[in-house]
Amino acid sequence: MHATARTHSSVPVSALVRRAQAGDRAAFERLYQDHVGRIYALCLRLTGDPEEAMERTQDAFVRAWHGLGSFRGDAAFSTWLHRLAVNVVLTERRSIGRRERRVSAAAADVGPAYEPAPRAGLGVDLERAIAGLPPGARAVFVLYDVEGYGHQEIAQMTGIAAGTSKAQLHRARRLLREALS
Amino acid sequence: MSRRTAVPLLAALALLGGAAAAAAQGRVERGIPAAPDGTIRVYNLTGSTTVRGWDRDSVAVLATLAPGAGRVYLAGGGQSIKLGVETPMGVEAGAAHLEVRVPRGSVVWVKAADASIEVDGVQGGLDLYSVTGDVTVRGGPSTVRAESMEGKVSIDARTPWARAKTASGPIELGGGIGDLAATTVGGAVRVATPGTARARIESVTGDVVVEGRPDRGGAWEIETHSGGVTLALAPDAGAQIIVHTFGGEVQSELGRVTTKRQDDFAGRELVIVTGSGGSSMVVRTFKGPVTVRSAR
Amino acid sequence: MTWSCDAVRPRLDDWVEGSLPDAERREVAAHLESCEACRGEAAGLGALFSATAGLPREIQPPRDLWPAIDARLDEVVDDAGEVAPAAVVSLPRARSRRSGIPRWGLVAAALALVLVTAVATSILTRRWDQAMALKLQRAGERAPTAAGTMNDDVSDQEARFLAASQELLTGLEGQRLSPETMAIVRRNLEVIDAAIAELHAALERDPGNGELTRMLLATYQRKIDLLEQAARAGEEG
Repeated sequence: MHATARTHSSVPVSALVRRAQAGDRAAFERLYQDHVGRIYALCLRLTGDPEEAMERTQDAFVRAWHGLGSFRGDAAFSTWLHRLAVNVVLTERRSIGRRERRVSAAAADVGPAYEPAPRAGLGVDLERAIAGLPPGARAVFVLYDVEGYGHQEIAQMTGIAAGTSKAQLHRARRLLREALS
Repeated sequence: MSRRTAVPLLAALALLGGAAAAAAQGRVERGIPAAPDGTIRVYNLTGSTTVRGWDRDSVAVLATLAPGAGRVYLAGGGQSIKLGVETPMGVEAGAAHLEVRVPRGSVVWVKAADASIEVDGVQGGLDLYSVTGDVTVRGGPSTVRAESMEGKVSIDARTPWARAKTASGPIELGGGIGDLAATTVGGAVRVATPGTARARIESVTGDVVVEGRPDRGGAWEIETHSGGVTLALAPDAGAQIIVHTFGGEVQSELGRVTTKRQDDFAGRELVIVTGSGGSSMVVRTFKGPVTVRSAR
Repeated sequence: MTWSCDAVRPRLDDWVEGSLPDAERREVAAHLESCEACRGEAAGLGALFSATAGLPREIQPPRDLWPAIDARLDEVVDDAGEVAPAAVVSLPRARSRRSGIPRWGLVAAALALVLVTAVATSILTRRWDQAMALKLQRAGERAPTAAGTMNDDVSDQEARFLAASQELLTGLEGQRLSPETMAIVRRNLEVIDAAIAELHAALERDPGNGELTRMLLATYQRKIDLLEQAARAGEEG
């Protein structure tokens, strides 16, 4: 997994979390500011669509607020929040139904709303290519190669078998290499 | 048992044929050889079932059937015997009164809907279940599990282990039950102490009365939500009684009373020592009244 | 005997990641020395990995999401975003995330009067249980007391009891218990639920009280006992 969360605030994360758990909304807003970038990036890459990603990001933070009681501080808050966000995205996709058509449209022609942060060459193309992956392969690629989860964890979060996760990863990498070559 | 009708005894699988025959039945007698310590399962939904142990190696049933009660069956053999009344579907069945004799060492299992169940003189384990019928146990079974939701469960037997459960039916226990547990929602529970080493009594709103002289070394736990708890102890009984209550009154006319804690929110905790201690009784209640008095 | 491309290609991902066992790594390396095609593949994979590693970890959303989030923090959460169906017979169960209890929906009621009665009974109790589950969640959100961890454990246990009783209730619906039996169950459930409510109220005034907590959990157990007892009525054996 990636390194520990950097916080922009001068107050340590644990203190903010404790205050938020006690109902301090201002503390929770600081946590939001510190983590929204990570969470939005995750949601954007998982969904391939900025509007949906923003909705999921909001859902994740709202759920985090309501679920703070169950956060025991035995793992980093950012890890906990991240997993929660993954769960929010995956659950939403399952219950509302795949938006394959929207995703394929994004693949063929990334909608005007999606303007990845300006980065030279491969970075921007790669974001586009990820958005263009079929949903199953995209989810696994983002979770494994971008976010650093293992196949067992992915299996748990997505409900697919670990073997399927490996297969999807191979497929994703192959498709991405083809898209970028 | 006297024979009133000439129904031949069958030695193998025996199911009465014909609804017509069943409808016309008044009394039915059946018998079958049985192992001395086999398992007998009895199904009688409506009416009554009485099971008594005897010294023969056979199971016999005498059924008195009201019109529409259904068919009597007695099947199996050896270690495993099943008997009962097959009730007609879709109509309310008439009552069937079964008198069953089983080898003394049998394990007996009875299921009823509103039929009452009575077992006496059986030394194997008992598992008795009725929804609204009374369940009564006497004698010396090796274990007892007796349940009725609305009926009365009464165990007056010398047994090392008994579990009584009702929803709103009363429970009466006594006769020397080594390890007893009584669970109810609203039923009144009455337990006689002698012969009991461990007891657990749980009620929500039902009142609990424990009577007698608790055995030395006995450990009792009584818990209610709002049901009252009365410990009616023999004047020379020795018990250390700990009471935890949140809102209930505690009164004791016996022993030395010490208040360990008194706090509006945390409740009250009292210790009452009668005689020279010797048995332990812990009473927990949310707001039921607790009374310790002399047994009359 | 060097490996063929067929043996090497499937292992390239792991090789580039560095997760191949030693013996296999040597074989792959040996093959790559003399196979331009596979080297190209490996290079492509490598490029993908570095590009991926170079992706920004954070991306700021196009607009500030906080106001929308803030507005929703007062929401009563009893679903993970699923819409409760309008029909009375498909009540989603409140989800307790803490213990990961999956949701289910009631199976549509059958035509028999008995089953309808059973469903009606369970709707009553299920609504009560849903309300309790909500209270649990909110209790979990409040400021932890000095016995904060105990509250979590209690909520976990309560959630487990609720789940168990709801499973038993579902089981009861599946059996065709008589209306009389269901009425007995309902009456007694009401008594127990009233006791649970009183204990909850007392715990609110004195959170973390061990004795009250014990009593609460014991009362939940009475509920399970009752439902199990009722379930026996419908069983064959």
